[in-house]
Amino acid sequence: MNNEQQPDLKPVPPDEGRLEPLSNVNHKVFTSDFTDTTSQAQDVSVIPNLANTSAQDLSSSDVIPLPVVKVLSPAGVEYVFMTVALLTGEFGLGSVFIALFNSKTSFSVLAYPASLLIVAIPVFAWLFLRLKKGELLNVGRRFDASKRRSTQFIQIFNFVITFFTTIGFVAAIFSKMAGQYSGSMAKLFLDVLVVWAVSGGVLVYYWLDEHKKRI
Amino acid sequence: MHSSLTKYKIGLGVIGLFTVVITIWAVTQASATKQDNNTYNSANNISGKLNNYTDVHDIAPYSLASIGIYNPPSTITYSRLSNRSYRFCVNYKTSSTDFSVSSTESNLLTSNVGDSNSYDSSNYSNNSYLYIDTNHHKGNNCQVVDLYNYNDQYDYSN
Repeated sequence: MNNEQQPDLKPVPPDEGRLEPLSNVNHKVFTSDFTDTTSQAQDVSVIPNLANTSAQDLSSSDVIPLPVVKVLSPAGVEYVFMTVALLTGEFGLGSVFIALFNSKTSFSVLAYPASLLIVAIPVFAWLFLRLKKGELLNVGRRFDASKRRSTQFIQIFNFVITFFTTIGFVAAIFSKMAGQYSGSMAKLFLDVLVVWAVSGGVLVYYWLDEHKKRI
Repeated sequence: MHSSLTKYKIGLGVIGLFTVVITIWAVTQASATKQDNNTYNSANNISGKLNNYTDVHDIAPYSLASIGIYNPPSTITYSRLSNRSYRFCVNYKTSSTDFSVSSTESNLLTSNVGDSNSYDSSNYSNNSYLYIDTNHHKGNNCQVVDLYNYNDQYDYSN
């Protein structure tokens, strides 16, 4: 480490703040924990603010390091898996109910939704119970940033689905009024009801879960 | 903790049971769909031979055996009505459907719920040529084919 060089954290006069040619600047390479990776100075023009600043100087100064690489926590990865399984299961469950409400029970209609359910439901159930058990044993896990990112994504996704489905239903009512839609409004309402129940149900669950933790 | 998880286990169990029921239902429908696919393929094959025969001979064959089809599936029946007409029936166990759950959902999401001008194959009315439609209803789907008589339309004698 080069302790001879001092960090330049004081306000720089305007005439001293102009850029110097790279050849005149003594840059160093730092990793995310600000350890010097090189004993020899190297030109790194992308981090000019760290020029002429050693690792020890930075650690003892008021500079707040920002994480450059964001990784999920171990539980956070499982929450992402659970999110994928949940959204897949939602689509499968909604599809089956929409098919049933439209009296479509043939193999060609039910085969794919059934495939989604067969895979997604067991995976989701196992991960959900495992993670819920973990939350009950360790309350801190409920505040895990990775977990919250997944559950917030679930809320946003389901809000968008429910929101635009409702818009579609209102548009269908207008189309019916104008005679541009000859389909059954009762069946269409049942389709919308399925989306509200499945997607809206998941949204409400995670919405309440999110607000419960703030109490 | 067990009591806290019990309600989730019950809910997931209900969804799991529903999944099992749907899966069993789909599997039981698979054999009927497979038979219908075989029926359609056979009917399509036979229709090609029938159309070729009538094109060449300009007469309805006396039987399927006379055009080299000796063991047609029991779901396909051919009956000669006259020299120039015949009835061809195909029996399906299930109804075909162009219903798509994903398109229903996407139509709702994109507010695209108006009527579309789709082609309705049930209105297919060309009776001079045997055409096996992929769209069918459950049970017998019959067509009466009247061979097209060019002499009725055009008088080449002059």
